[in-house]
Amino acid sequence: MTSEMIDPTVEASTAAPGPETTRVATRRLSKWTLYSRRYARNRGAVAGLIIFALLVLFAIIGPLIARYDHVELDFLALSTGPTAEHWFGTNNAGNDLFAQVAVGLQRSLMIAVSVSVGVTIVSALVGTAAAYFGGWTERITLLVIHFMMVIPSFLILAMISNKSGGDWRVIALIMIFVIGWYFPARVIWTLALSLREREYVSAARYMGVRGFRIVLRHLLPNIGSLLVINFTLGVVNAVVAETGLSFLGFGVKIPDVSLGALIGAGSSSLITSPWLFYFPAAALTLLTVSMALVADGLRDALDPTSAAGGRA
Amino acid sequence: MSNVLSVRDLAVSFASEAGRVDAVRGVSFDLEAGRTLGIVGESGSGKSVTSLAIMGLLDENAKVTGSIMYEGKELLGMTDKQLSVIRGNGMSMVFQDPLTSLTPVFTIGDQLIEALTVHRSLSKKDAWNRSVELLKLVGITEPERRMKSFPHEFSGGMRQRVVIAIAMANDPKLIICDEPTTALDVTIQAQILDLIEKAQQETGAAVIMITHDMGVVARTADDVMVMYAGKPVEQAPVHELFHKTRMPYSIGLLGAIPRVDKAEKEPLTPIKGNPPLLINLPDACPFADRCPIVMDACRTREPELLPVATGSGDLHRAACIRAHEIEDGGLLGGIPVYPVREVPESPLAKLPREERPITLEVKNLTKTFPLLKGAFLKRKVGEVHAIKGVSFDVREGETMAIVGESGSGKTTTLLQIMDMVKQTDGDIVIAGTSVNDIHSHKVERQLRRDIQIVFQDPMGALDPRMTVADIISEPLFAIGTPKEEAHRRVDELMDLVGLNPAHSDRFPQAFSGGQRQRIGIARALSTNPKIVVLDEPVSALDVSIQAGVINLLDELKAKLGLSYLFVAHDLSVVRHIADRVAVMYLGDFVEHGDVDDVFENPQHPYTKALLSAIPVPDPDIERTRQRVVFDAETMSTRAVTA
Repeated sequence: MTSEMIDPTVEASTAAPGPETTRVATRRLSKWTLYSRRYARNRGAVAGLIIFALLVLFAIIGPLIARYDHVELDFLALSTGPTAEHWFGTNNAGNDLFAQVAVGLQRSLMIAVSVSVGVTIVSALVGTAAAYFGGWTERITLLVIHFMMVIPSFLILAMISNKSGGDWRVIALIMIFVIGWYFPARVIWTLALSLREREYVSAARYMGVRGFRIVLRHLLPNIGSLLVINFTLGVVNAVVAETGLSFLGFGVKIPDVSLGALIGAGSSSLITSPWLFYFPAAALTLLTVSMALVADGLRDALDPTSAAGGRA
Repeated sequence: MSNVLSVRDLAVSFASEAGRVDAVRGVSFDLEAGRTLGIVGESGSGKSVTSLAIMGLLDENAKVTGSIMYEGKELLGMTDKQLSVIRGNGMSMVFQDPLTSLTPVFTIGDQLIEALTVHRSLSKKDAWNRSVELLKLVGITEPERRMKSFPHEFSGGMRQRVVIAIAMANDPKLIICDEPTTALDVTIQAQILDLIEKAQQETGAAVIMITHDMGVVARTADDVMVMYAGKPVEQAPVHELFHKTRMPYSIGLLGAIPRVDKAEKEPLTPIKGNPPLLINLPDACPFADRCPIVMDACRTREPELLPVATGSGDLHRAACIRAHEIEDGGLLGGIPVYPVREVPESPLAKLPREERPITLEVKNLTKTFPLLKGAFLKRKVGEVHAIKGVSFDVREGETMAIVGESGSGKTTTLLQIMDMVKQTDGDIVIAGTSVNDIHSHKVERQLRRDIQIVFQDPMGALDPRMTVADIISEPLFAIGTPKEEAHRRVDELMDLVGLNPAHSDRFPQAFSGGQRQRIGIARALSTNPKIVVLDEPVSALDVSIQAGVINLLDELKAKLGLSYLFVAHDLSVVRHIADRVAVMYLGDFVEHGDVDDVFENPQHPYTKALLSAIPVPDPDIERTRQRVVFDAETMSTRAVTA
C-alpha cells in the first residue's frame, strides 16, 4: 500500500533531473564532496588556487633556496639588475631582492591572511548574533559598532604599531580588533536581519534547535558568499593597509621586510632600477588576482542558486 | 457583432541560457464586445505572457510572432509610441497585485487624472469631476476626500477598486484582468468580481479574465480557454467546458479542486508529475507524460486544437487525439479517465470523538499588542486585542481547521501556540503538558518533539544551503538522535512522503513546489509528533499539485494517527480536509463545530457571507445562487443586489 498510496510519479519530474536512479539507498554524498566537485568545475578558480599555492610555496621555500639571506649585503653588486647570481637583482645597499621578495611575501601573507580570517570570523559572529538574538544584545553591539566608526582608528593603529617596534603580530591583532571588524559586522547585521525573518529560521526554532546553533547552521551559511568576498577583499585590504603603514614608517621595521615595504622602497627608484618595484609588485598582483579567482569559485560552489548548481 | 480582438497563431519565445523558451506556442481566439474570455492554466502555462503580448508590454528579448488585430488594426510591429495611444485608452489592464500597481508617491486623484488626461484633453476641473465620478462608480465612499489620499491609506481591496477605476477611465473596448483577485480575501474577491462585471456593463468592453481558479472562471467567463505548456488545449463556451469536458488535462484540473458545496470526502484526483520545461519540446503531446489515458500515438506528434462534436452544437475544440472517445463527466467507456483512489480508513475514525485522547487543548488564549505613544520614552496608551480568549481542543486522528480572512488573528493564534507563550488567564496544553509548566529549555525541547509545523511557502521554509537529508534530519539532531539512526530515518521519511530517497543529497532548489512541500512535511514528521500545525500548506501550490499534497496529508493522518491544526483561508480545502472547523473574525471564534454542520448550516452571519463569497467551479450553480454579504455595523447579512 505504501508505494501505491503516494503519488508515484514525483520522482519522474522534470525538476529533479538525472538518470533514473534506482530506489536502492545509495551512499549519500557529503556536503564537502559536493562543494569540492562543484569548485573543481570552475577552471579559473582552480587556476587561482594553483597560483595561490605556488605563491605560498615560494614564500616558504624561497628563503631556503635563495643564495643570499635577505639581510645579507653583497657589496660587489649594488643596484644590479637580475643576474645569475641575484635572480631578481639587488638594491642600492646590496640586498638580494629574490630573498627579500620571498621573505616579504611570507610576512605579507601571514599578516593578510590572519587579519582577514580574524576579521571575517569576528564580524560574521558579531553581526549574525546581534541580528538573531535582537533586543539588548543587538542594541549594545550596534552602540559599540557606531562608537568604533567615529574614532580615528588608523591613527591608533599607527601609534600602537610604532610603540610595539613593528612586531607583525601586534599589527595583525590591532588590524582585526581596532580597524577591521566593525564595518563588515554592520553590513552582515543588516543582511542577517532579513534572514532572521525567514521561515526556515522559525522552522528551526520550532524544532527546538538552540539559538547559537541556528546562527551557525542557518544564518552564517546563507551569507557565505558575502563572507567569502569579505575575506578576499580583506586580504587585499590588509596588504594595502600594511603597505600604507610601512610607507609611513609605522609598519614592519628593518630587518623585517614585507611586500608593502618593498613596494614603497622600490617606487622611489622606479626610473633608475625598475626591478626593485616590479618584482614585489608582481608578487602582490598575483596574490590579489589569485584570491579573487578563488573567491569567485568558492562563491559559485557554495551558492546553490549559481550556474554551477544546476549540474550538481 | 464585430470582433474587438482577434488573435491568430500568437507565439512568444525568449532567449535564455539553457536555450529558447517557447512560452506561448500558437494561441488563436476572437473576442466580441461585451463578452468575457476566461484563460485558465497553471503557473508557467503562458497565460500571463499572452496578455502581456497583447498589451505590448513584453521585454525586448521576447520574440513575438503571429497576429493580434485590435479593431482591425494589427498591433504586432507597432512602435511603443503607437501602442501608447491604444494602451490605457482602448485597452486597459488590471494587474494581480494591487499593492504595487499604484505609485506610492502620488495621490489617488493624481493617478486617476493622469490616466484621463494622457489620452484626451480635458480641463483640470472636468478631469477632477470625472475622477470623482469614477471613484463613486467603483464604490469608494466619500470620493472627494479620497481623491487626496495616498495609496497606503487604502486597503488592498480598495486599491484594486482604484486600479479598476483607472482601467475603465477612458471607456476601453478591452479590459485584461491578470489574476485580479488572487492576492485578495474571498469576500473582497467577490466584490471585485462584481465590480469588474459592473465595469464591463458600464463600458460595454470585452474582458479577458486570466486566472488559475476554476471557480472564478465558472462565475465570470462566457468562453473558456484552458492553456497548458504555452498552448490552448481546450476551448469552449463555459457550460460546455464544465459539463462536457473533453481534454484529460481539463478533466484533471476540475477533479483536482476540492468543492466547498460537497460533503463527501472522496480523494481528489491529482495530475501526476509536473508541467514540462518549455525548452526544446519534442513533437509530442506535452501532456503525454502526465496523462492517464496516454497511447503510443500521443508521443509521435503534437495534437492540434480540433473541433469535437459534443451534441450541443456549440463550437468546442480540444487538442487530444482521444477527445472524441471521452464522454460527459470525464468517463472513457464508462470508466473515469482518472482512476478513483481508495479512501484510507483510519482505525481511529471508528472511535467516537469523545473517547479519543486530546492532543492539543487551548483554553482562553489571549494576545494583546500594546499601543505605544511618544517618540523617545514610549508609554502605553492602549491595547489592541489580536486574540480575544479563544478555546478549542484537538483530539487524536482529527483535523481542526481555523479559517478566517487576513487580519482575523488566525496566524497569531498559531504563533502563540508554536512559541509556547505562557498564558495568564488561560492555558495551552500540548500532549498533556501545559506550557505554563515549562521552566527549562530542556522541557521545552522535549515538548517540541510532539508539535511540529509545516509552513506555507515551500521555498522559504527550507534552508537553501542545506541538502534535503540535512533539512529532514535537523529536528532529529535537535533532540539528540544518533547520526546513524537519523540517516536511516531520512530514507524512511522520504519514502513515506513519496520522494526518492536517492535524491536526499540534493539541494531544495532541485525540487518542484509540490516536492518541496513534501520535504517540509517529512521534516515535520521526523520526530513522530502527536500534532502537526499546518499553516496554509497548499495555498502557494498549483491546483493539480495541491491535490496531491492534500491527499498525502489525508493518508498520513489515517496511517500515523496524527492530529492536524490547519490554518487556511481557502474554505474549499478546509471542507475537504477538516473534521472540525472554527471561523475566526476579529480575533474571536464566531462559529466552531463539526465541519459539515458549519458548512451546511452556518449560524453566524459572517460564516454565511464567507461561504457565499466562494465561487463554485460549476457555472450553473455559481450563476443562480443568491449571494449574501456581511454588514459589520449591524452584524447581519443582506442579499447582494446586482
